[in-house]
Amino acid sequence: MNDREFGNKIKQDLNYGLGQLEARVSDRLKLARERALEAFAAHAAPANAYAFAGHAGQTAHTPLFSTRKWLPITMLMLALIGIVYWQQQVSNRDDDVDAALLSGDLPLNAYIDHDFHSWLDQSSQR
Amino acid sequence: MLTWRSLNDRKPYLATHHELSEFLKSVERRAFKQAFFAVRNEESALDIVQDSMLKLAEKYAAKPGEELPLLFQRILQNTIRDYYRRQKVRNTWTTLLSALSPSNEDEDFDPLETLEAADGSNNKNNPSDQLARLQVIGIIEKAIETLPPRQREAFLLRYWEEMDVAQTAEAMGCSEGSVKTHCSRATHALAEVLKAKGIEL
Repeated sequence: MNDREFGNKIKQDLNYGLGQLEARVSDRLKLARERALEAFAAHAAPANAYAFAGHAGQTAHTPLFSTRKWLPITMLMLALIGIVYWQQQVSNRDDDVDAALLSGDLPLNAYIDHDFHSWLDQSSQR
Repeated sequence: MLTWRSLNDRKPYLATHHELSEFLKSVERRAFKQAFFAVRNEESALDIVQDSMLKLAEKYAAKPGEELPLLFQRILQNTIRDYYRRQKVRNTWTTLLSALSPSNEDEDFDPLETLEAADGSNNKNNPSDQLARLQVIGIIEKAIETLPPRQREAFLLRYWEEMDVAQTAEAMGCSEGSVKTHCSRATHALAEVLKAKGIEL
């Protein structure tokens, strides 16, 4: 017996076995088929429009705000808000230092003067 | 495979509702069995068939009717493979988590169960012949289940779905050469198993 004959014999047996499928399986298959046909009816109208053949089904029916899309966007927004808030905190602190420097008795040039720093160190050590 | 460009000179024949309905009706039982051989679980096999039908209906509504069988087989095989992949991930977790509790899963695949169910169905003409044939079929089905996935895929597409080598290669996403190899290995493995069980076809 060659491969094809063997395959045909197996095919006959498998087909015979199909007749023994339980009713609950057949019912589920029928239900699945009906659902698929409903989906087909819903999609066939736009997809059969000639110009969009092949594209319409994919683009027109993806939900606008699927979890996969909005989750990363929300994360990104939160991260941005966090960064802006942190930046403001830092710049506020800088503002305070600036204000203290400008309104102090010491002239600004003193802070740039290296000799002044070394004098401060020496005098604080004493 | 036919494409839109190659169909330009003749009017493409789009699948109709009736056509799809008839096609699904003709293929659904074999599709269920194919999925069942692969995953060995009735619920999962039914889910796989339903997913494949939905994908076919949604994505390929604009395809000509004659392309349906090949498209459906490609979708079905991919869906089965996706199931394997997900199952692999899930298994890693369950083996990690269920190391303490004993697993009873293997008991679900008792070959006798299917034979008993078949025995219970009422066949009026010559019950002993019927039973003998059903037992042989049960053994054949079990043997098909134990084939490596690619060999089983190739064998069933070639001989059950009656596709030629080129179509099988396209449905499986491999070369025609490997379809032939898978197919002949499957045939020999099955013949060996049946011979060992003393079954003459």
